[in-house]
Amino acid sequence: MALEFQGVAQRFQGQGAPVQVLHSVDLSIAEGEFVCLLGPSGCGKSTLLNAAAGFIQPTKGQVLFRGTPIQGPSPERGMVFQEYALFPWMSVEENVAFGLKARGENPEKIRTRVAELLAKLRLTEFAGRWPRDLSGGMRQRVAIARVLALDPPCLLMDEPFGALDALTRRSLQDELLQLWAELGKTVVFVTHSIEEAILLADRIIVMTHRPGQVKRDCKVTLPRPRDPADPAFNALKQEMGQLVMAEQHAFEDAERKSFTAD
Amino acid sequence: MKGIAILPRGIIALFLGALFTIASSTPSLAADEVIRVGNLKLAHFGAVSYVREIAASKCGIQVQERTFAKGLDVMQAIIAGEIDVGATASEAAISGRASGVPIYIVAGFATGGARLLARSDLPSQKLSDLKGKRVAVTRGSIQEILLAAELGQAGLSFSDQPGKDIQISYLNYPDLNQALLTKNVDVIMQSEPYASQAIDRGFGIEMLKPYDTPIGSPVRTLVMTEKFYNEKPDLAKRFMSCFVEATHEFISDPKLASRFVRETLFKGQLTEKEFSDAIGNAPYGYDITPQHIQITIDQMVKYGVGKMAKPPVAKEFVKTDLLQNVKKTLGVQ
Amino acid sequence: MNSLLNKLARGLAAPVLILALWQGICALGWVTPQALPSPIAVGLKWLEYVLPSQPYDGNQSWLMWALSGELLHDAGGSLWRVIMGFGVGFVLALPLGLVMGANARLREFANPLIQVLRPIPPIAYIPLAILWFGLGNPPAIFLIALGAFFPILMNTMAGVSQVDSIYLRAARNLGASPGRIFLKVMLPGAMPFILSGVRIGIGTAFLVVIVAEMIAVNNGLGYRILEAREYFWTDKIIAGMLSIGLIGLGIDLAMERLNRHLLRWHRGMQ
Repeated sequence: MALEFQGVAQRFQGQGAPVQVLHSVDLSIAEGEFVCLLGPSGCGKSTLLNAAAGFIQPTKGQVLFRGTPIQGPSPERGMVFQEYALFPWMSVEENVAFGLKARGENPEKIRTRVAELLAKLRLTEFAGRWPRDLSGGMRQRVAIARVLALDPPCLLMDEPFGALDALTRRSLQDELLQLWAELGKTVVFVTHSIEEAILLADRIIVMTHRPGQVKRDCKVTLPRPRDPADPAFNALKQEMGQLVMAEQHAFEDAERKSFTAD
Repeated sequence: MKGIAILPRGIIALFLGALFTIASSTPSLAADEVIRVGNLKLAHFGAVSYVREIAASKCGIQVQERTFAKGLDVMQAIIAGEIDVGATASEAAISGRASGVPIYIVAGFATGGARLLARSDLPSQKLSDLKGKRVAVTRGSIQEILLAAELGQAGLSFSDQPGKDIQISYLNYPDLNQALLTKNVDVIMQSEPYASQAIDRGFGIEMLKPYDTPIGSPVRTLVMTEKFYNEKPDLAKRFMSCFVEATHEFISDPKLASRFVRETLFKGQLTEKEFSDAIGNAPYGYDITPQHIQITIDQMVKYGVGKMAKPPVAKEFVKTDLLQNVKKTLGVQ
Repeated sequence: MNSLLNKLARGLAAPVLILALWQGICALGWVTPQALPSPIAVGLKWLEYVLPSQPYDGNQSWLMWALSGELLHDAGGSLWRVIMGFGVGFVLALPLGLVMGANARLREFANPLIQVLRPIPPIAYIPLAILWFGLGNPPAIFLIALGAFFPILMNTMAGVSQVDSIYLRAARNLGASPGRIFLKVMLPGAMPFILSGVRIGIGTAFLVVIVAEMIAVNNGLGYRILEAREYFWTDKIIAGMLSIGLIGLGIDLAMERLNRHLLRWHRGMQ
C-alpha cells in the first residue's frame, strides 16, 4: 500500500468552539493508483491531503506511507498547491532545481535533470524567467516540474487546476494524465469538480460534509482516454452529482444554521 | 447640499481662528510693558536674575526672563527679536556686534569668573605641559579668549582642527565638568560656579586664574538692543535702576545673594561653600569701560577668536551714560 | 527630447519659483540678512565652502588640492559616521529581526522591551551617550546605530512574519533543511520589507548624524552648522543645510538603484 489512512480524525481549535473537520477516515491507496478526493467545501479533503503530506498530525489515527507512519513532510510525497507556491525570487530553472540542491546533488546532475524536466513540461524557453512573468498554466507546470525533479513515488495535488481557465485546465489535465501514464506515480488529487474527477481518477472518494468521512468509494472503470461526451461518462456524472449535491446542501444548511444561531 | 456649502466657510473660520490665536500668543512687542531678559545660569549672573524678583514690587516694571546655555544663544535670540536686555560675557557681545547684532553694552556686572582646571588625577600641570593634552572650553564665552591669550602668552597655538599645538573641543559649561570628571578631557577653562564645583567635588585642580593677560579680569556685559535703548528710554532707565538696586542688595547682603542663587537659580544643586568660592572669584559689580572692551576685541582679533570679519569698535557700542545717571540718582558708588 | 525637456521644466518650476521669491524678499529688505540671507549670498558661501581654502601651492597633487575644500571634508566625515553607525545598527538588527520574526516565543519575550525603547528618539540618548562613550566619534556612532537599529529591526520582523507560509510548506515538502529554508526562502521573501527598513534606517542615520555631530566631534556637516550658528553665519548654515539635502538625495537615489536590482523579481516593481 502506498498510502493508508487509519481512523484519521482531525479537530482544530479555532477562535470559539473546536471544529471537528474529519470524523474517522479509513482509506487505502495502492501504488500507481490515481485517486480523487471529491466533496463540498469544508469536508476536510484538503486536511486529509495535508495529513498525507505530513504538514499536520491527525488528532486521532495515523497515516502510513509504504507501511511507516508519517512524521513530517518529505519529497517522497511531492505536493502541488492550488496557488502554485513558486518562489518568486527564483527563476523557473532555479525553482525546479530547488529540491535537487536541497538534496545536495552535484551541479552537473542538477543541470541535466532540470533541462530534462523543462523539456518534458514544455518550459525550456522559459528557463530564465521570473514566475511573475508566467501565466497560471505555465506556473503550475513549473510547480509540477519542481516536485517531479525529486522523482517522488507519490504526488499530492490540492485542487491544482482550480485557479485556471477552462481551456488551460483541459490542457493541463491531459498533460497530467500523460505524465502519470509514463511515470506510474501514485496520485492523490483533491477537487470539487465532478467532471474533473471522472476524467482523471481510477477511484473517486466522495466525502461527506463536515465532520468529513468517506461517503462512497467508487471505482471508475471507464476506459481511457475518457470522453466527457460519452453517455457512460454522463451517467456516472449524474450519479456522482446526486451524491455530492446532497452533501453540498447539507453543508449549506449547516452553515445557515450556524449563522442564525449566533 | 447645505452641509457642503457650510463646510468651506467652517474651514475658513477655523483657519482664521487658528491664525488669530497664533498671532495673539506671540508677544513680540504686543505687551508693551514687559521687558524680556536673556540670562545665563551662572552664579555671578545671579544679580540679573534677581532683578526679576524685585521687578514688580520695588521697581514697578514687568520682567520676563529666559535662560540660555551660553552667551551666543542670547545673541541669537536678540537677532530673532525675542530679547530686549541680555547678560553675556563680553566675547559674545563683541562677536555678536561684529556680525551686526544691534546691541549696546550698557553695564558690567561681574568680574573674573574664570579658572583653568586640570584633572585632579594628573600630576600638577603648568601651561607649558599642555602640549598634546585634550583641552575644552565653551565657545563664545570669555573663557575662550582667555584661554587663547594664556596659551598665546605661553607660545602655544591651538585650534579645533588637528595640526596645532593643542586641539580643543567646544562644550557647554556643565558638559565641560562632566568631560573632566569622566576623563574625556584633561584641562578645561571653566566659568563659575562650575569651576568651584569641580574643585570642591575633587575632580578638578586649579592651574591658574587667567587674569594676567592684557584683558586682565574680564567684565561681564549687560546689553540692550538698540531698539529698546532708543525707543523705550523710560523703560530702559527703570530697568537699569532695578539692576543697580538688585546688584547693590547682593553686594551688601551676601547671604541674600547666596540664598537666592543656590535655592532659586540652582535649585539646591550648589553648596554654600561652592557659592562663596565662586563669588569670591567673580564678585558682583556695575561698571565697564570702552577701553576694557577694546582690549578684549584686539585680543580676539589677535588670536582669531570669534572669526570676526569686521571687528567692532568699542567706543561705538559701549554706552554707560544710562548706568552713570542711575548710579548718581541712587547714590551708589 | 521634447518630453525630457518638459519633465525637466516641470521639476525645476517649483524650486526656481521659491528661489525667486526668496531673492525678492531679501532684496526688498523684509527680513534682516542675519535671519535670512539672500540665495545669492548662500550660493556664494556654498561655493566658498566647497572650494579649497588655500591657493594651490604645488606641495600636493592637483587632485588632492581640488578636493581639499572644507565641505568635502565635512561631508566625508559625516558620511563616514553614517556608514559606520548604520553598519553597526544593521549588523545588530538584521539577525535579531530575522530570528524574532521567525520565532514567536522569542518575540513574546523581546517585544515588550523593544516597544518601550523604540519610541525614544536617539537624540534623547545624547547625555547618556557622552557618559558612556566619552567624546568624539564613539558616542556619535552609538547614536546613529540606535537610529538605524529600530527601523531595520521592525521591518525585518514584519518581513519575515509575512513570508507566505505556503512557501515554507513548499520548501519543507521539497526536503529543504531549516538552514536552507532560512537563507533561500525566508530571507529573500522578507527582502522587500528588509530593504524598506534599510532605507528608513539610512534616512534616520543621516538625521541623527547631524545632531550627533553637535556633541563633541570636530568636523562634519552637523558640526559645521553648529559652528556657523555660533559665529552668526546664517548663510553658511543654509549652505550646510542644502549640502545635507543634496547628499540625502544622493543616498536615496543609490538606495533606489539597489532596491531595483535586488527586487527585480518582485511583482510590485512592475
